[in-house]
Amino acid sequence: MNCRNIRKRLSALQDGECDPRSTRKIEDHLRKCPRCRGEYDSLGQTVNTLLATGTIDPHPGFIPSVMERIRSPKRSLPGFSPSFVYATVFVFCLIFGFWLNSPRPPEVTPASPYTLSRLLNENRQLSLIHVQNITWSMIRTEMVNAN
Amino acid sequence: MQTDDEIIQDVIRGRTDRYEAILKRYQHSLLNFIHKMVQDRDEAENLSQDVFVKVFSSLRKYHRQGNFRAFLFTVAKNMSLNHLKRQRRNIPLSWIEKPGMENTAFQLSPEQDSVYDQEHRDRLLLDALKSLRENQRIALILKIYLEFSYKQISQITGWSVPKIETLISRAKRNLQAWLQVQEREKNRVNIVRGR
Repeated sequence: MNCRNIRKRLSALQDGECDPRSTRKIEDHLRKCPRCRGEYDSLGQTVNTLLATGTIDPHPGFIPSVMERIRSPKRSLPGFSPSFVYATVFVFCLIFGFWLNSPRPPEVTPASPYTLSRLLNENRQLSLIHVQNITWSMIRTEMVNAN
Repeated sequence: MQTDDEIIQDVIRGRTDRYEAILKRYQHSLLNFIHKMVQDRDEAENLSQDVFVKVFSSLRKYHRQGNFRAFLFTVAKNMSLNHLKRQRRNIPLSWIEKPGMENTAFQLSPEQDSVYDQEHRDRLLLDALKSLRENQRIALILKIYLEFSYKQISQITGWSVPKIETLISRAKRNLQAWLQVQEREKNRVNIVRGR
């Protein structure tokens, strides 16, 4: 391994995350290369500086406050989780949307009295013509037979 | 001492008061993790409480036996990132556009230097952590302060182990560069004062 590859793995070596074979190789290199050794030490100092950062302690009321929230949870609807409510509303909207966009059968309106009488008249005239046609054909047949 | 999983089983069976043992065990490390992520003590306290409540309400979903700590910090990581996202959206434009605000957090004035105590150094180191990219910061904090292994960090974040190695390595180098700049700045101030 060259210096560039070694430096890429210095952090992992420091964190104890290199396998034994890589560890041996890197440590051999560090013994021979003062620049990589310096880089390794500098990374160590950085970590030590970070570790020197003070920590903060939780407020004395931290645990009681969490326990209180756990014992009296807020719920949108009793017995239903918010996700269940959202899912139900979504499905309802989906079905309503489909229903709105679905094709409808043509509307049938009841006929007015005027329309009905007109239709009856037309039918009566048609049947008269029909009767006349039959009569004419019978007369013609009789005349043919007489001749 | 009971293991995390034994306590969790008690809680799931209805002994809610047993959750207090979990709180006692993790309140400190969780609060400090979130504090280093969001950089604000009050926000960190509120978020830590939210994390514990959320974890409690999703205990039935916890199937990673023997890995409760990773489960807890996964929730903490997600909630911290969501908080930072919300915070980014809420930054007033007047603050961003104010000239000369960019590097104030990183500059040591002579007055500051004279009271270069632990609290001040902590503030500067928090600023240094803040200067890192979010994913570098998460990986570094989980490794350095909480001593998770790369494999455990991978479980928490969902990133591959090689990616985590790279992120931590870059984070350390960036901090190293930042500390060197601080050191040079401090020396420069000392020289000016000496004159």
